[in-house]
Parts: sequence; structure tokens; C-alpha cells
Amino acid sequence: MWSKILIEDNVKEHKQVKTIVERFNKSPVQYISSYEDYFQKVKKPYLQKRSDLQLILAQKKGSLVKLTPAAYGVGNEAHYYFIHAYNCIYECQYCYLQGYFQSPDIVLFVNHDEIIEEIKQIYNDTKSEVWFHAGEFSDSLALSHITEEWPMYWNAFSEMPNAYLELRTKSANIKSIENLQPLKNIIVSFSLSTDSAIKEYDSKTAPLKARLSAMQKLIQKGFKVGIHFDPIIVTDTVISEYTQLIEQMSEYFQPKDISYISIGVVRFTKDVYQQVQKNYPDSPMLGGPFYTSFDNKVRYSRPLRLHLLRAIESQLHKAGYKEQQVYLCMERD
Amino acid sequence: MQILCFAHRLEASAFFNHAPNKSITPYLFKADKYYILITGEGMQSATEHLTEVLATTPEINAVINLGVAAGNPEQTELNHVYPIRTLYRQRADLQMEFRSFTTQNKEAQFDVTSTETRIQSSEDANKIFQFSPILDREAWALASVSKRFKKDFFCFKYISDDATKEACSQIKDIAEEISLTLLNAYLNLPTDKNENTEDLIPKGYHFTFTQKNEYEKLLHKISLKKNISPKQLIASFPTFNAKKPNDKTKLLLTFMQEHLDPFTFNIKQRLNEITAKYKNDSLKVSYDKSLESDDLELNIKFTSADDLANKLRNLDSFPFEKVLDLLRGKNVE
Repeated sequence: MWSKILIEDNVKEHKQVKTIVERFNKSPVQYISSYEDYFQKVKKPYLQKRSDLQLILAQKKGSLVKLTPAAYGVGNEAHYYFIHAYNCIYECQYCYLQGYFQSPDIVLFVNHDEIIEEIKQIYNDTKSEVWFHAGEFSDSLALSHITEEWPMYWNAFSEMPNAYLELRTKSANIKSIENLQPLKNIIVSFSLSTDSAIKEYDSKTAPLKARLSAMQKLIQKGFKVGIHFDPIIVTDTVISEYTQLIEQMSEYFQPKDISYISIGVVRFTKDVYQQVQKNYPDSPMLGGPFYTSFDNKVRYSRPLRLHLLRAIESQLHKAGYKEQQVYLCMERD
Repeated sequence: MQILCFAHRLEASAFFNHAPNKSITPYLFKADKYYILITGEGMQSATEHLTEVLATTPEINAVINLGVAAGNPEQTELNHVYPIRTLYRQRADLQMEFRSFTTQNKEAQFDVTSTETRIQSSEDANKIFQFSPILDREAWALASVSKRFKKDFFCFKYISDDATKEACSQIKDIAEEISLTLLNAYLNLPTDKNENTEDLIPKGYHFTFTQKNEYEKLLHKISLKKNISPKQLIASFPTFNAKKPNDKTKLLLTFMQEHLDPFTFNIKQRLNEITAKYKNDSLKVSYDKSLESDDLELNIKFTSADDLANKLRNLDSFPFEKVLDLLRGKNVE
């Protein structure tokens, strides 16, 4: 799977590192002094992840937990994300990581104890409820059966009732969490798109039915589960496809089983849009009507994206999802 | 027309024999289908030679670098030719240059690092192997010049040396064989020629530079959206009747915009219809053409307080709610 595994000297005795190396025992290993000497040292084209993907195991230095951009997540609470990994094994055509990092190589940080300490400190300093999101720079569950970090977070969050943890995924890989004790303040959220969009744009991710089955399993075990309809990509039949998706969801769970659903329309920074054009020049997604929007991002026209958000929100309400369960993501209106 | 770049004349011997050619300068030769350029060794020399030729020879549309290189024995085989994917550079201070270039060869899976100085030790070679398994002296510079001149770039490297061994082998004796191998690689280069955009301009239309850019962009996007070739799309265009070719072009572009984004096109049309009723020599209501805000703008000329009051009274019937609905994508159907 990996063309090489690079391991920082200071983490080579780490338990998680040993587990990962054992799991990928056919990949050549090399010890390095600092991941920063290799990761993003040169501009490595994004699509080289298909044939030359390196795994780097390292210690995250500097700031480990950061405030999210505005209009992120549910409600008006403070939202933070923590950095336990860079990059993703999946290859979604709209993914902002292709323009964010200068290399597709995967970096897994193993100093979770330090990340958890920083989370605890923020929790203690915050008087009200506070959210922490994993998966800003990586899929939270895709490799979790190998990296095995979530039990540590479960322990920590069991002692912080007013802190919420969100794990975001496009996988159906729930092996590492399904046997943990469900907590009311840990939400596993699944990004869902229409079946055709997943097939067209979400390379290597779990198929829709597998994601829905994983959600059903977690719900039956008592886990809190969220949904992200994000990014919505326009087609001539997009509303009816999402209506079908909502119907399909009802075969696996009920609206009351879902903590929240966020809805967002596809958007790019200019850099990411250029990368998408370079990496996927023939993608039907690029046949979409994109314009430069109020914040200099590349989006559909405001009337179209508001229409899409409203139409899909309305379908959710028709299916029984309550107003307070549904929120519109990253859109000022 | 292509230009084939070699560091040394010996590397090009088979190419000289392959097609009759004439000398243009002591280092530039022209055959029927390609130029041959002998760049000399090193990035400085390669940059100077190729820049001079590309600046004065606009008929060249592709640059192809062919030559010998040293390889990592664990990843490459001696006496094999490798099509190159990405080109990196090691600077004179032995640090890696961040900027990299990628060839147009989509099948290539090997990368090369061009070094400012000859690699003298296996230790130095191993540092570069972190980034690529092949080392040469010119390719990055040629790719850089090609990018500056917006030319396609391809690169093929014949592995003549083991980069971990100190001495370079003398290739004089086998130069002819090496050159023949490079010639075979060149002759097998896939000819994936894009459609000439001039062929895609319909007859009877006159395009300004800006209109042509817009036309090409719309053509590409609608082809992706409809999943048909640009030629098929052009064949489906209706005939536009206008006296002047320039007016025909405007009709064509409007037709294409409507096809790309019927939703937004419809909204703009309806807004135009509404605002046209409030547009005369002394009064004009306009909306934000980007549609990114609810802002409406009023321009008014008046000569007295009574005149102003009269003109403002004209706005009493302005359908604000309807306009706001349109700007927000509401009640559009």
C-alpha cells in the first residue's frame, strides 16, 4: 500500500507506531529526524498518491487544537478541530486537500496524549459547551482499525460531559469504535452523497449502502450519529436524487436516530479549483455553472445554491427531520 | 513541431541517422518532424540553449528531453529507459527546490531529480532517493523553460549508472546502443493530440479575443455537462439569424450560457424584465450582476424636490418581494 514508511526517530518506540509497522510489514521503513524535512519539502503532485504514496509517522508539534472557521457545526458553541493526521487515503475529486497540502503523502501523528491534554485544557477554560472535530485534514475512521487511537479519546471525553467530539468519515470502517461504550457527547458523522455522485466523484470511499449499514449498526448499539450532505453537486436531477437518498436512509434508520444533518453545496477556494481542473479535467463536476462568489470562493450562483439547500432541507422535513436537526453549512444566508 | 533535447551529441546519434537534418547552428539541427538541440551538461547550459530556441522558434509546441541518467539500483534497472513523471531539483546548497514540474506523459511512474553538481557519494545519492529514484543534470531546467513558454514537456531517461557507485561509467562505447534505445522510446511516445481549438470555431461567426475565450470555456463545460464531444455539441447548435457576425456571436454565447446554467439564466432574465420597467433617461434600478447579494441600486436624476418626489413615486409599484425572492432562488418554478 505504501511506497515507503518514514518514521521519526522520536516516535519509533511508540506503541501505535509498532502496530502500524507490523500491519504494513511489506512496506520499506526508513527512520528520519523530522517529518518536516520530507513532507511538503518539494511540490509532489496530488495524483501521485495513486502509485507512490508514503506514510509518515510523526509527532505533531506546535498548535494541536485550533478554532474552526466561522459557520462550522451545530449551534453557536465554540468549535475546535484537532490535528491528528494530514491527508487521506481516499480520492474525492472535490477534496480541498488537493490544494491545501503540497504533497498527498499521509502523515499520522501519534502524540494523542498531548492532543488530549490540549483538548482538556480548552475544555477547562471554556465555561459553556464546546465541540472538537476530528477529520479536518483526514478521514477520521478510514485507517482507524490500524491506528487505534479512538479508545484514548473515548476515555477523555467520558470525563468531559460538556465537550462534544465529532468524527467525520466517508468510510464504513467502524471496527475500532463499534465495541466502545457509546457516549452521548461523541457523534460519528457520515458524509453521504447520492449513489451516482459517490461512484463518480468519491474514489475508494465506501459505497452508499455500506455507509448506511455502518450507520445502522452504530445506531442499534446506541451511538450518536450525524450526517453531512456535503458537498451537493448539481445535476439536472439532483433534487430527485437526494429525495431518493432520503427515502433510502429510511430503510436503515429513523429521523429520531440522527443527531443532526448538515447540508452544503460544493465550493472551492481558487487554488483548489485550479487543482481540480488540473487533476480531473474531464470531470462532469467541472461542467457545473461555477462563478466567483462573495468570499472569492468558486461556487454556483447564490440563487442556485440557496435553491438547492432549501429544496433538500424541505425534503428532509417532509421525511420527518425536525428543523433543529438540519443546518446549512458554510453559507452566510 | 517537437524539439528533442540531449545533453551530449552522442546521445542523439541515432536520431541524426533516423531522419535527414540540416544544421541551423552548431548545436541546433532541423529534421522533417523535429528539431534536435544539444544543450550541453548542467542546468545553466540547458536553460540558456532551450530559452534561445523557444524564444525564436514559435512553431515548436513540445519539448522532449532524452538522455542518460543514474538510478537507484533498488528501484531501477541498468540499461532501461524510463518515461519520467515528475521533475525535482537539488540546488547547489544541496537543499531541494520546492518547485517541481510534471510531464504530459500520463503513463509515467518514475521521477527524476536534477542536480547542480555531479553526485559523488552514495550518501548524497541516498538523500535524493527520498524524492526520486533517478538523478540527472538537466531535465528540471528544461521542464522549467518549457513551462515558461507554455510548451508540452516529455522526458525519457536511460539508466546508464548506478547512482550509489562513485564513478560514472564511460558510455562512449555503448553510446550508439543507448541512442537507439532512446529513439525507440521516442518513436513509441503516444500521440495524444488534442483537438485543435481552431477546428472548434463554427463558421460565420466573428469572435473578439474575450468572446473566443468565453466560447472555449463554455464549450468545454457544456461538453462535460452533457457528456458529448465539443464537435457533437457544435453540431447541435441551432442557426442564429443576425445581419452581423458579431451579433450572431452574441446570440450563440447567450444560448450557451443558458445551456450551462438554465436556472441562473432564467433568474437573470426575469430580473432584467422587472428592472427594464424602471429604466429610463432619469431613473434606473439595477441589481447586483454577480447575484451574490440582495443589494439593489437606484440611479436617479432630478431637477427639483417635486421632480424627485414624482420619480420616487414611480417606485411605489416596484416588486421588491418578487425581486428578493429571485435573488434568493425562491419561488422560481
